[in-house]
Amino acid sequence: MVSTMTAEVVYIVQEFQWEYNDEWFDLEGDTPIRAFVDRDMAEAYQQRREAEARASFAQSGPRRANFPSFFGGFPRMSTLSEAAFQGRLQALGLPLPPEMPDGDDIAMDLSDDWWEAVWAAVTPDLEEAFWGLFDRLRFYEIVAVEVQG
Amino acid sequence: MKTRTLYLVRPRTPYRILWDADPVYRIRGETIRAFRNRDAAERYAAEAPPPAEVNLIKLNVSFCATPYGETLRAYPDEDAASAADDGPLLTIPVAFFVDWVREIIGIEPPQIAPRSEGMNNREREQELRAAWIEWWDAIQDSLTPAQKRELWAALTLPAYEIVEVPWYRQ
Repeated sequence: MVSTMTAEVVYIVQEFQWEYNDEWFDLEGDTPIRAFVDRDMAEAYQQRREAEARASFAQSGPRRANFPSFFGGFPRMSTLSEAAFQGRLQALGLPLPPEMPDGDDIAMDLSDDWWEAVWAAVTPDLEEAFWGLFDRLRFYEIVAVEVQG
Repeated sequence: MKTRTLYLVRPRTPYRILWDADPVYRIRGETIRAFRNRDAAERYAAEAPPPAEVNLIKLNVSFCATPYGETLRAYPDEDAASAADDGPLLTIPVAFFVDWVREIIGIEPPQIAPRSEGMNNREREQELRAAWIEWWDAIQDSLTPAQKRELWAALTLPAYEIVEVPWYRQ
């Protein structure tokens, strides 16, 4: 007989641990903190905690101090290519990073001046989209898991 | 809102955190298993084989000379070695470790010469560390997943840990 019971799924919110290694912040771990039966509730919780973490991170210093340099360069923070990153900035009406000398790219450096200028242009309604450019820089995630036992 | 406790079983490092695209870690959240009761979680953690993939094993070695001879301590990585928070994985005479490496994973350990006359402990530690770490770096890529699993299982604490989280139900 084929069982008609479906396994119950839980949505686990995990917190990431970023640790400073004397050069930059590395993603060093993850800790499950809450589980929800309802995906919407998990997402609402995750988004609230993410916003709090971003705000706290911003207040603790790096926001205006070129935080790509705190994360060891652009590729550690984003899966976007340089071209895609520039395209997204353009679409948001934000300043583009200065052109790099031949042979260089934005891989390791987003200049302090550009960072200052771009944050000055990031209005509150653009903040979410701006953070979205750095899709590897997350403080929380949701993992869906079937409950057993 | 009703809450219960959910018991999560997840692989310990290094099964959980793997290098994905250099230089970014990928967290393997999908390897978590969730249980309604602790007994079932503990049973799973005790009985399940370690995950198939083990990509990240670092070996760091510290050395001390004791009245009983030279011993070697192996840690999963440098952080653990400095913090020693998980304790040394092995604190055994070098000669035993050499035999163990040969027997368990079937690979010849590094050839380490006996301590030279006049060599002090610090010099000997540096010599041993360099030899073992060079050996480890050289062989790690050639180990099969099964060998890595076996090695890790022999080296450390259980492959899984249990984490309790509040489980919010409507």
